[in-house]
Amino acid sequence: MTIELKKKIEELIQAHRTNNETLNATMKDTVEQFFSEGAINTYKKEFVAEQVQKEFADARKSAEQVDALLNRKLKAVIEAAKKAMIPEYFKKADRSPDFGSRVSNALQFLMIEDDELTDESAYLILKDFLDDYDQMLLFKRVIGKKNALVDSSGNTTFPRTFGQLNKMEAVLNLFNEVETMANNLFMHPRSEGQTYIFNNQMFATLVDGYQEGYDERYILDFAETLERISNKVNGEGDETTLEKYPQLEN
Amino acid sequence: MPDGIIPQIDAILLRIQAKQADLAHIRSTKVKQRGLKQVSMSDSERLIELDIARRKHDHDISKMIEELNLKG
Repeated sequence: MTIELKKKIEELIQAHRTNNETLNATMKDTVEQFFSEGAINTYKKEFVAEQVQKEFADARKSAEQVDALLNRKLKAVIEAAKKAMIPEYFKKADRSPDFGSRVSNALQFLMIEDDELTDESAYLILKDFLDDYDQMLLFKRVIGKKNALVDSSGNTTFPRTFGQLNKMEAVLNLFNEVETMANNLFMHPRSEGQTYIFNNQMFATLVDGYQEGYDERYILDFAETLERISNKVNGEGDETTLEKYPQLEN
Repeated sequence: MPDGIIPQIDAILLRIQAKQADLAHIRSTKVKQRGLKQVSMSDSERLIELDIARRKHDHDISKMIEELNLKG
């Protein structure tokens, strides 16, 4: 099962663009309605200005509501993808009543091995805890005090023991990036686009700023990477996956 | 974030879309029904219609957003 995160984010970005188009169309309609030749000859300038401002304010309020909701949906979509991709992270570890003593025993074995600890022996000591993310994180810190966790090339020295944990940490880091981007993705202030001058008054349509475009591309790149990792884990990766992202091979 | 929040957000987005469509329809309406006849609608009548419709939609949408906020 693919997480389809990129597709879902693309749909939300498209919905945000449509929202922008609706805002600008409403503003343009209002301007055309009140600044037609007939209207200019019928209404006082002040009345027109007041009505136009009122219509603009309502259109902006609606657009902001939609953006806030789309942003909320984006966060929910990301969280759902996270839950689907790393369910172990959300699952409460099954801890037996003797959990404390088992941890204590494992720590003693690790201390006896000290700086001569190998991946093989660490795996044998910790194999009962491999699915417990929080506990493995603590063991990793303990082992890291006495042993190098990566070699000079940056490869892990404990692939068997911490392989699963490292993968989950890498995925979590990617999700952290995506979540940071998603916080305000559709809430960036808009800048002024096309300008209209009617009856000596200036009105401008609103467009997304440069930052928003950059953030959208960035979040889609991360979503694509996450999708590729997910596909590879599920055995759905293709040759292109490894050509484009050789680091996933590790 | 609680599960099931996405359909609730989708429902509000649809409601806002309905509001925008309704207001656009009123803005483009040139005639009104009087008995069996269609007579032209004045600008002030249209503005009043817009105001009434907007209030009704905003009330419903605010309520839906409040419910969403209560859920988390």
